[in-house]
Amino acid sequence: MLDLKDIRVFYDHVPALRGVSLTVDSGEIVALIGANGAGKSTTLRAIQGMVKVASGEIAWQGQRLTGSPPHQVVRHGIAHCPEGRQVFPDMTIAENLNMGGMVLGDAQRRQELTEYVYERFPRLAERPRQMAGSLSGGEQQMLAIGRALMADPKLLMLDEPSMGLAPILVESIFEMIRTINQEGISILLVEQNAYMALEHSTRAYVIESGKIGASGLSRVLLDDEYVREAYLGI
Amino acid sequence: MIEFIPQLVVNGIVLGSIYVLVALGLTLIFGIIDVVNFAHGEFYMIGAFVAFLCVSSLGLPYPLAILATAVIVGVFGLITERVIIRSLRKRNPHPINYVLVTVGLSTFLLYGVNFIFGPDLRRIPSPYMKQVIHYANVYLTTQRLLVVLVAFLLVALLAYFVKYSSLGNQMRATAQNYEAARIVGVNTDRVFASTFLIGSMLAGIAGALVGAMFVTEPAMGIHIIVKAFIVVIVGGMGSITGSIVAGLGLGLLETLAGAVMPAEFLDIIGFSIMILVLLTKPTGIFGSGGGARA
Ligand SMILES: Nc1ncnc2c1ncn2[C@@H]1O[C@H](COP(=O)(O)OP(=O)(O)OP(=O)(O)O)[C@@H](O)[C@H]1O
Ligand SMILES: [Mg+2]
Repeated sequence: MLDLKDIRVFYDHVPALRGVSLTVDSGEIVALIGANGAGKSTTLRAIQGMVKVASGEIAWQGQRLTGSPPHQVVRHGIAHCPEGRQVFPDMTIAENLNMGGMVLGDAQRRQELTEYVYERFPRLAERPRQMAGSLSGGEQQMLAIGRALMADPKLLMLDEPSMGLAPILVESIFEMIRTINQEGISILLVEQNAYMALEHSTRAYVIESGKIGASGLSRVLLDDEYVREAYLGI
Repeated sequence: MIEFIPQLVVNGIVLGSIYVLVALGLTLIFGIIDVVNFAHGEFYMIGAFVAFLCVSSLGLPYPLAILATAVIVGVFGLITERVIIRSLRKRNPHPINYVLVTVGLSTFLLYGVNFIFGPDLRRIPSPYMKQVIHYANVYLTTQRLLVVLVAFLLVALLAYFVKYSSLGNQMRATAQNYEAARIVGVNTDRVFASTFLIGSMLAGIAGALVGAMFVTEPAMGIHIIVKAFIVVIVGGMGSITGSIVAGLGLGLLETLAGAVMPAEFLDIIGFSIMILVLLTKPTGIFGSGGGARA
């Protein structure tokens, strides 16, 4: 469904991605793990069209996506929940969700999705008029995920959804991801929390200094000597 | 003395309305695009000249000339955004570069208009200058009433637009979190262009109003832009409410003080308040450090 071939990205002539290839198939949860600064977020940004791809090809459902601006990529059914809970702080919860649904032409569908998101995140449903900036970290994360779901995506890219959350919330976020996936949305999950990511995904890629170092079924990687040592600290 | 106060308050509201109209465009462009448009005063000046030409050369009725001015200066702003601001953003978006190009544009427009029309003082012929309304001991030309009405109408429209329209929401989203706006599907290039269009229209309309009430001259932009900057800084960069409150406040204060102070000293008032605000609350009275608010 999503196919990256040999993607290279530079920030001011400094390479950040040095030939990343990966695929996400329909219905999968694919994890992308790696150390700080390895290029995980940059990979998602390249897919979304937020950074210039210097070489390589990105294909989506057989169509070439390379070079499309972000506002078109999301209209193709790829939603992105960026790292660090990027909500609109001076907008209400409802307005944030509305922004997420702006790509939908169909008001009826937007209404359905709003109800779906509120059902999924009851804490957001309790106070739709509260400003997003005044929410707790966990609530902002839920809002950011909910906003991405509002685009009615076929693929949801999540960048470190568990970052900075209390352990109990981390668990429920991963549960949530699983549920969303079971409802038919493919997931590309970026995590530093490698153990949790491998536990909750079908396949995984390990990225090291801008290149894919290892890949395979998540449960196989979980048992892999090298991955365990380098990323799981076991 | 006391019996003049109602008249002074009315005059202050008229002056403040002009400040608000000009400051709003400046604060919108700053809050959303993060660009301080130093040529904003010249857009206002061009508005006055366009309206002057519409009435005196084309023979358009004055109200129609104001509408034509809004469109022409709006398109002019759109072209400025596309040709100058956008290319800079794509190639070399360092903040100092925006200062250089907008200051350059301001100078170019000032001297360009001066070269073509000369420094003479003109006045847009407006039928409303001859009609005087009075109530008790307050006198005011219909022109002044028009300034206030147009300002209030535009402010209300803008507030509604920013809060409830789709494009308005996209503008707010872009101001609050540019990256997130792009992620949810906002075409930020289009938002920036629309912002410049709206800001320039407001400046152009203000010019068309003031050019009939006071004078139309190439240097008129310089006088207003100083005040607009004070209003925007005191009200909070990017804050719409802040510009409205600070604009009306400054207009009132200057007019009231004008009754007891020589005119040469009036400019000190605005600067003093600005310095005071910068020292005590640098983000302005309604500012919170970034992002446009309704
Ligand atoms: N805007 C930028 N300008 C310059 N360099 C950048 C920029 N963003 C990222 N980089 C660099 O590119 C490399 C990859 O960064 P990226 O954010 O993709 O890493 P990451 O794997 O997501 O890391 P983290 O786990 O810390 O989020 C890093 O070396 C980083 O310093
Ligand atoms: Mg990252």
